[in-house]
Amino acid sequence: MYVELRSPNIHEPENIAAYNNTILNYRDTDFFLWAGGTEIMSRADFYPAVRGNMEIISLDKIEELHHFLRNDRYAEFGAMVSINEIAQAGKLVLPRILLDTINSTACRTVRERITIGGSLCTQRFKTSLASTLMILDAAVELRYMKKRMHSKWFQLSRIYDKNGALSIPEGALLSKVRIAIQQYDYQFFRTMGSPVRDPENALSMALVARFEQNSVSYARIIFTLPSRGFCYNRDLDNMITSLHLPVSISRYGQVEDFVLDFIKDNFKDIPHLQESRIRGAFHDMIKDMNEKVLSYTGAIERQQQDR
Amino acid sequence: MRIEFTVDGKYYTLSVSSDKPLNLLLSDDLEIKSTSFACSGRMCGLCVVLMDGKAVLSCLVPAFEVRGKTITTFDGFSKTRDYRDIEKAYSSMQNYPCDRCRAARSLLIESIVRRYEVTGGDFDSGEVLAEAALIDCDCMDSDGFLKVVRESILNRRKRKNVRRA
Repeated sequence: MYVELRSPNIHEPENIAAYNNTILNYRDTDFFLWAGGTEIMSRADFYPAVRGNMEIISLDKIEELHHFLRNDRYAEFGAMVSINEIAQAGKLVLPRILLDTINSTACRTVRERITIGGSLCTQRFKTSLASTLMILDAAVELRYMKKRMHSKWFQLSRIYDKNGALSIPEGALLSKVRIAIQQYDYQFFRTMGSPVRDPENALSMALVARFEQNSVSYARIIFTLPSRGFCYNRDLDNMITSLHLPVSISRYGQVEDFVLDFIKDNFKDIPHLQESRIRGAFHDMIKDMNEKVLSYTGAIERQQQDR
Repeated sequence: MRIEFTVDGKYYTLSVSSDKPLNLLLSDDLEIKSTSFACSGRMCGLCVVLMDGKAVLSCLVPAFEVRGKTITTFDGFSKTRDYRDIEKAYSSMQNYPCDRCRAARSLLIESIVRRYEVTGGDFDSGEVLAEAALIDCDCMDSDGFLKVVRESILNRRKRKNVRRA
């Protein structure tokens, strides 16, 4: 009896039209959307739930959310496609940094349950997948209720506020994710620590760049501090874009200090371990960039000597 | 909520809270003690069970998702011939898991073995090592885990056309 009273009601719409009806019926009640459930189930207070009379709308059976399509310009995934399926389906076409990010997100057993829509809408911590998609200029389709049901495409960065908190209309459904198919001259992704086991100290960093001769002509960089949010700003991008490669030690020191100060200004009181990880990831990236440019110029010089 | 599912070959109908995690459902309602329920979704990896033949962390699966599914726990799996393949691999590699993680590790290995048995693809050491990191226990190093998985796959291939658990 007790169990029956507290048990949340489960709604499993089978298509978007049925979902719209469900939302219309329950819009004034306490409901939440259920994708893969990995983040919701890992909340310490999830079970037994403090709140009674919850309505859970499971998205698993909505057929439209499991579709994906691809053309020459972009790949489009339904929100309920698991990130493991994305890695397998897009192995040859998606940017390498996205595949690196997916492969570093837990192991395959867990990845099979994580959906792309769910990983972009996590509440308790921020995922590195969201930040990587942000620098790749991904767009998302939101369906939300405003007298009637609306659907609209947004740049992914616009659904988060400046600190990385999700800012979409209440009860909105993220239904599709569109990722542009383009490759960059340089892509770097590094993750340290687990966002689930230790979100306070974990860190991930992603960068995409294009080179023109020995300088960076285009760069986008993002840091993810899972418990705090994203650090993504044009000033950081411009700082990297102004670099001439290989980066000298003095210039490296200046850029590293600028990046750290910027992150500290955005997020106060970063733990020492997280700060060390930021330094480490940034150092690895600059070293890797230098190596790439030096090996490239070395190869060109060798070609010229051979001629 | 009423749910109907199969656990270790037995069909159950239970009336439980729809958001109750599967590991609690197994331990509280069915009194299966081989599944750990210590971490509450923090991914310690000790609560692995097979759901329709694939490894899942049972603390991340709510009751409403197991309707109509087939669950295999270590209690049931340890009585099958499939487990012998893994047990033989432990003993031939002289690398045994501790009592704390034996259940989860064996079921995880079984899931990997079935994956390679079905797809027949090349052995991906990186992927298997990432799977090893799922279980938060230091009793078996990653190299040892890799060897046990390889040996288990070989044992399974030698013993084909065998009925599944």
